[in-house]
Amino acid sequence: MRTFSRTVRSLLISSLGLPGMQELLAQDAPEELIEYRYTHYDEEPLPLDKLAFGDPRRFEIDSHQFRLVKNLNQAWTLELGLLQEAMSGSSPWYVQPGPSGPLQVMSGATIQENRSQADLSLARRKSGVTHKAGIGYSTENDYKALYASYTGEKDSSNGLRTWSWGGSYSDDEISPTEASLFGRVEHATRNSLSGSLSITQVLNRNAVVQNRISLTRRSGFLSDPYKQVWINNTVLNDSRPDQRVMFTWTTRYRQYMGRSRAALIVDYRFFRDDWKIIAHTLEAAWRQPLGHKWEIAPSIRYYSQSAPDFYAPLFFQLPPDRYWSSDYRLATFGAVSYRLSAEFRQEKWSLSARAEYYNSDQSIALSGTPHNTPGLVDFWRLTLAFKLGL
Amino acid sequence: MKSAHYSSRPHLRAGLSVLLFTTSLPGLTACAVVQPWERGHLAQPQMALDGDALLSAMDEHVYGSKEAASGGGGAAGGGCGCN
Repeated sequence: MRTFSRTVRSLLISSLGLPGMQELLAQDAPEELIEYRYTHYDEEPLPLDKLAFGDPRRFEIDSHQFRLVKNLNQAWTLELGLLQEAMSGSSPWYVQPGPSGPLQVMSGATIQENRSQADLSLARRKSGVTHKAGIGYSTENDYKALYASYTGEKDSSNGLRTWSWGGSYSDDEISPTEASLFGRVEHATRNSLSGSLSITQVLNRNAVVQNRISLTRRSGFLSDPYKQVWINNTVLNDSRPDQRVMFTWTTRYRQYMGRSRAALIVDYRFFRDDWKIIAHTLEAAWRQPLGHKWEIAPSIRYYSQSAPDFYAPLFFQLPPDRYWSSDYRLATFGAVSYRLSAEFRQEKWSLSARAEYYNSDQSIALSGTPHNTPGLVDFWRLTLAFKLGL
Repeated sequence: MKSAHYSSRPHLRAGLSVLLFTTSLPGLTACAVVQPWERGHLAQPQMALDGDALLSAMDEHVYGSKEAASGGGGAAGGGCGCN
């Protein structure tokens, strides 16, 4: 497939009136390419005034991602994705009482592990409908996931509306390390079944909106085998319900900003599950082209969640339903991400980078029971990508 | 294994939301008619609904590993995210 410049491509699309919404919105176009992305993720150490004992240094992850998109013919597109990442650091283990509030116990030894993932998908376009089916496999020393997905997409006859629908299934196996030494479950399974429906609508010549709903059901061993809970001077394994149904509503809006040629990006996601967690995510970005080769995009992301009933940093009596967790990721908290990205584009290739700082704190949560959660995480992330059109 | 159903009411809420989602769609027909030759702005890369596929997948994995909420982005992937 020939590669056109952005300007020529958009002129072609607009003048010929191609019916495909994906082409129209410049998303998910079957442009043949090879892409490599490197990401460095670095969690800030736990402050010493929140540490009971253990290693305060938290996780660092280096990820390498590779993606190939190849059109087999006019109708079929093959996509291959590979990921390799190396993780090291120590992890929050449980919380115990301290002289002036809960203190985090961290794992003592530095954890080191690698994860590999491969994804393969085939897409077929025919009569205004695109069907895409994919499979994937992820493996690390204590976790394996095998998953499959399908998405369908259909444009309206005037090209102003696109319906899409999809589903996925994942079958996961957990084999925690040093299970007998720490009294962890030796082997467990979990699975996840998900479905989604979305509609994308052109509102006018400068604005487009997408609404998506999704429903996910997870079942099996949903506890974290590496987390424990302090319950009235006894430390027990993390224990969560063995089923979870999650619902999301996502609205995404794009507004072209006239003479500046910038785009205002606003995304909102509402999340609710049957663990009684409610979460809101709001993202806003300003994508500003500079000339024909550069683009910069500052963005901000705000996230807030409420805790389930079975979460507390400390338990002073045994909960009657026998569910308990002090995993900081289930606490009531809010988080703000500050991000800045830049991209340099040439006719056949592009380079891009994005830096992010993520800061979480219980005081900026929108709602939910506030807890004194010592393990909340802050992190930095830097990602660099190179993309080459084929 | 423990009780399979922690609470059933969110199923009802989710069902009502799906109903609301589908019944609200006819309202979108009131949108402006945009002729093919008027769609140049919408086709600009900065207007894309989905950003870079690898970055979106990584974002979903990172945030999903550190927060209780996940999903809604459409990207599939694996990994424990236990730490």
